[in-house]
Amino acid sequence: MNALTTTFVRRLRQRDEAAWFELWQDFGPAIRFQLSKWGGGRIGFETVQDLTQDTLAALSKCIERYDPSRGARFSTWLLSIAKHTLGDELDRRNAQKRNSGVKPLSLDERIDSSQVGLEVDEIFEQRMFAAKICAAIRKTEAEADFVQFQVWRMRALDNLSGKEVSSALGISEPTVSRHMARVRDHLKQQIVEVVMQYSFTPEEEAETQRAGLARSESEFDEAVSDLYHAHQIFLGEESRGRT
Amino acid sequence: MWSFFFGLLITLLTLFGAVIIFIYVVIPTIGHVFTFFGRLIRFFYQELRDILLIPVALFVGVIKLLRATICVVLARWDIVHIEMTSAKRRFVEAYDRTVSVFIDNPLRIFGIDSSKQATLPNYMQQVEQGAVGAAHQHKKNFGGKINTPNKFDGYKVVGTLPPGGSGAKIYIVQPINTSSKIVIKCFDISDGSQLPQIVRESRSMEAAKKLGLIIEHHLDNERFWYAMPYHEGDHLGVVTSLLHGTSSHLNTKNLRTVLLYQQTLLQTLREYHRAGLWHKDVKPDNIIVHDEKAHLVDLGLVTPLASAMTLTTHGTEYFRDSELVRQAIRGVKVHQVDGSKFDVYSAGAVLYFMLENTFPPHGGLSGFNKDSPEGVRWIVRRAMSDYDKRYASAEDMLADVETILHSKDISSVRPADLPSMTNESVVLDDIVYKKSVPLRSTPSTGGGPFAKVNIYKTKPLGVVVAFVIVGLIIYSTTSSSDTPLSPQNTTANISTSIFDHTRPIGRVLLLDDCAMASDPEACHEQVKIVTKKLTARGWDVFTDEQLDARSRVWIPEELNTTPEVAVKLEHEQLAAILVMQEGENKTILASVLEHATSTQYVVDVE
Repeated sequence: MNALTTTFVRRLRQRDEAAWFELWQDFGPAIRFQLSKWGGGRIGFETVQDLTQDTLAALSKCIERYDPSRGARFSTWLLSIAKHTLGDELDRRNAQKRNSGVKPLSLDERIDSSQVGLEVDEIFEQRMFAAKICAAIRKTEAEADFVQFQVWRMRALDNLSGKEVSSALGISEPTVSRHMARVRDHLKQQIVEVVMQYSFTPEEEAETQRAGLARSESEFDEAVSDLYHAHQIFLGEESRGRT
Repeated sequence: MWSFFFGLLITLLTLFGAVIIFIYVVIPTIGHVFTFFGRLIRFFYQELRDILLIPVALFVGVIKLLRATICVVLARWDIVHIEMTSAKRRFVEAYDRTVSVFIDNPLRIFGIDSSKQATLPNYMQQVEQGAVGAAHQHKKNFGGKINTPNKFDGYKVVGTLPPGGSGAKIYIVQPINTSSKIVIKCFDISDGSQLPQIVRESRSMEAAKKLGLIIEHHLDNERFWYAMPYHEGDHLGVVTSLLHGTSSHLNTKNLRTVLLYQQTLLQTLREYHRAGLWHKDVKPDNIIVHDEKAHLVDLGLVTPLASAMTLTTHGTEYFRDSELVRQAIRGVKVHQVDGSKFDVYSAGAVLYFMLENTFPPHGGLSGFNKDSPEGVRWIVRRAMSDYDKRYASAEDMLADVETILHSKDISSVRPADLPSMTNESVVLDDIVYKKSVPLRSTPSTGGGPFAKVNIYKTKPLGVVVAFVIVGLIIYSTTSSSDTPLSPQNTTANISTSIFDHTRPIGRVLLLDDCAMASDPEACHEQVKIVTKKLTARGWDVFTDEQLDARSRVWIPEELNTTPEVAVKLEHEQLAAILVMQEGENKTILASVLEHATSTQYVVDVE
């Protein structure tokens, strides 16, 4: 694990609630969606919320027993914990129904890095990666100048031309380009940091390259825009499913 | 002939007499006999039931006590309180049943009902219970109007509204002799309302009244209610859905309507913030559209901007800034942040909702899928941007909205033309409506200390006899709560002076709660005087900002000494905590929380 990941994991272990909230904000929707899907209507929204919290809480506990030699990815690990959290809940329900007195396996007993299979849904992986990119965009927005960030947003995410942005904001086109470059550089750095923070394996760390984020500036903007819009659609679906 | 008639008369009279005797003597006697047998059967049934249930109640009580002890060992203070309450309830039940076995049940054989229920004759109780039951059944079935005369002085209840998340009941009422309608929100402890919720809602009442948001408010030991203007109409969620219909975007007319709603919403928020309040729950469900204006309702979370309380995460997802959650997690106090900025964020989310007909799923990064002018989108983004970068006030946001609203072509306004970009000062519109709040001469009451409500009802008769029987159990139960980890909580002591209070041996942390007073400055001055006098009497009173923030997290809202308080005081090496806040009639209400007791004093500095 890289230094950023270990710092974040240490914060989780120390029960830093801000780190926990960050995790919840970034990956909560993807886990909720996956749990709802697996639940197949057997579990309600409130239970999904609880299980998502259990999953994230379990992550900080189980991390201590993580075996890097097994090569499980962060997303795989998270998905595996979520799956076992759900299994635990369903076992508990069945045990209650049967009243058999058979104690279901505890989460700790279930989770063992050697058992983590690589049966990861590709769509889930894409969502996790898009969540990382959006977390980086959010961090960039928080740190960048408001107008500069909006320039980048209008150009890269809303697909407006340089001329349109220039006209809307009453600034020259070269200024638009300068703002774009500055925010893009900032975002690139944030993406590296966020992806590193949530990566357990070299394969995960190399995801940025595979997603076209290490190419030319226009390709970078396009790749980020695609991931952002995919995540928007997913978040819309997930939140509509809850209400 | 005469003798025949005489004989007939005698026969008739005899028959009549026999019938009368049968009706008035025989039947009642038979009735009494049957009643007696009925009572006898009931007596045996009740005796059997009570005798069986006494050991059950005692057993459960003991189990609960044991569980409470285990929780004390595990330091699960939240559960300790619940377990102790359950244990007490079980012991009281055992006590009541014992009284019934020896006194109440035998007396009932002779028609003497010593329980509290017997204050009315049985048939009256049945009529009353029947009426109440029927009314509630009617309400349950039809959600309709129940006339509950004298429920609220000067008002007649004409309907109800669905309750919100607070659990309070909401009534539509008419002031007597008028046809106007008003809404009353009522928290009744007997209906399950929680005291902390009541305290939270009652905090901003005076300020809200000055603002015209509420008409009057009343608080007593049983309930708290306040009256506010009634806006008849749909909430913004419904109205937005109608505006959008099946269209992919809002047309110019509807867009203007949306901006008018946003304008009135921001005008209202500006008034809140000027009055030193923060709504904290701005969302479409809390905005009623009436007379083409957006009326912000629900004062459930309204908080003074200068409050010294710790920030909470209350609010509604998607309309609540995630920064608020982060700050709350950090334990920041309300006055350490600008609460009005969180309202600005919510106002931006509401504008997004009106443009997109859905909530912003991704906070400030939420994209727009429907066509809308770039200028309006800019307002949404600015309002929902990072805490430090968003509009500094609702007024700044209002200036941008009004600039677009006053333009001939809404779509032609560029972000560059907005006052927030040009830094030009603009004259804002006057508020085009005034709330027609009917004035009430009745002075509002409230804000004073809550008397502790005794939820354990015991039967009045047979106390001595029953006490002899179960005294030992009760004694053992109550004596167990005298241990250091279960402090005896005393009640308000307003008859004596705080200056006669035994000086706590050790440091006393002062928590000044004047930020919520009607006149904070005057309150601070009074607190200073009281503190000075206490210091002169040897009290080691001190203030500490960090300790202040930390302690507010665990101090109970009722300002009682609980086992947790005792442990925390020990942990912080404090002899006591002195909480001073505004009392009634400009007095100071001082609460001294010590390891084993809590005492309240009303201090009149004059």
